[in-house]
Amino acid sequence: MLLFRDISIKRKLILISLLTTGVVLLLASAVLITNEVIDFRRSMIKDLTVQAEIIGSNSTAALSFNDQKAAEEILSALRAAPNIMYATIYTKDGKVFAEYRSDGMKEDVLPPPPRENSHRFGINHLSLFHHIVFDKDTIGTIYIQSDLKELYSRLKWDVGVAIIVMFVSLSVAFLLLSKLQQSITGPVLDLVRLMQLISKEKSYSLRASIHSHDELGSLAEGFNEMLEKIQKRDAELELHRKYLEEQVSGRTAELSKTNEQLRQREEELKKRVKDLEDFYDMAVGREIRMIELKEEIESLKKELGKYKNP
Amino acid sequence: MSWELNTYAQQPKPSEYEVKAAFLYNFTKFVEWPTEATTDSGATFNLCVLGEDPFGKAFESIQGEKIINKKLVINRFKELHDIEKCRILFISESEEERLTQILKSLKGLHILTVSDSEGFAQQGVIINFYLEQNRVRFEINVDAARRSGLKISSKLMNLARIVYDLP
Repeated sequence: MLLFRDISIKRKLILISLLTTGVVLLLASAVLITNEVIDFRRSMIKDLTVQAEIIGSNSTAALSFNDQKAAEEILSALRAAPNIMYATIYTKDGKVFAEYRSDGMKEDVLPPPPRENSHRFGINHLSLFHHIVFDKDTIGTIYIQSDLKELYSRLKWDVGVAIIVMFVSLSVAFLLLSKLQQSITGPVLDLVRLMQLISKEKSYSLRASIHSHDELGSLAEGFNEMLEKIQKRDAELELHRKYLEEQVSGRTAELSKTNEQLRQREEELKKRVKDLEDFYDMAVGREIRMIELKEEIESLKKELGKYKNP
Repeated sequence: MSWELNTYAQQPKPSEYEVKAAFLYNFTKFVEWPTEATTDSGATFNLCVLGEDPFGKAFESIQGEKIINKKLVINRFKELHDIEKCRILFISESEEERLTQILKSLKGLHILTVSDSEGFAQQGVIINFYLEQNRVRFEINVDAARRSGLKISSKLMNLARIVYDLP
């Protein structure tokens, strides 16, 4: 599985948005359904209380004249309300006076001891005690037990609707996001592509196009500014390089000229040296010649002496 | 409270006339007297017994109860005088022979007539007790009820066996 931080911005954006939408929808649905259930329970209690009230009011005469058959007939009217599973009328002193069981209800259900006006929600039933008040006297109590099929089917319906709403909403959100995320990922991807191109081709004259005036716009602007600076510096460096080259070639020319001059001088000097050498050779030769001559003279003198002094 | 008489489950079991006395008291809650009748007759609600009184001590439990803010008083008559102050008139079986005459003299008065003799209802008594499987039941003569000007609750009607005047 990919880590969240390693997936693309496009996916991140979609994921973040869908997650946000989903959680918000889930919360909203939960609140709505809870509210609905609370509301429905309240209305169930109200309805059951009204039913108890009607039956109680109808059975005042039956209770007053101890007519159990009449009371049972009154209770049997509950057959019209299929949610009522069980009902009992108690006399003032708590004896069971009349009983009603819906068709599906088991025979062995025993009436609970009568209580004060109250209601109780069980897992699959709502039960309610209600005093039968007649002429300011409490003349009996009625107990009604309703199943919760309607509540549960309502709950099922609500959850189903919530799931459908969620599915549709998330699909629409996904479609919208696939389009809308481009306003963010587009400029980013452009920048990324540009960066890759520049680092590959080293052409700093390229510029990012600015799509918007938000942070991404500033990013592109900053990127362009940087490129501009790099380009400018490059140009300066190039200029510098050229200048230096010129300098160098100028100096080189100068140097070769000097060199030539030096060479000429050297040649001249060499010639002079040769001349001098030649002259020297000549002088030395003459000297030697002189010495030789002197020696010849000397020897001649000697020879001459011999001849004089015999 | 008279109420306790209404449950057979009580020990000891109430006698037939105790039950009937309680029923008489309970009738007052399901019968409406015209306003002139209830305002005219002073501070008491008079339950009258004409002829031999079969109740005896059975009335003790309801004597002094309040009905429409009036104290329930039991009056026993042998003859028909001062009868107009009665709201309920129980006509004893002993009066069988002069029943028609009694009923004739009650004409125009808003009095709930009650009896516990077979055939009385058909002769014009509004409510008549009878026994069915040892239980006290009652029949209502709707013609007589209409003539009396009293309003009898449909709830009470539902419990009663409906009878009419003999043709």
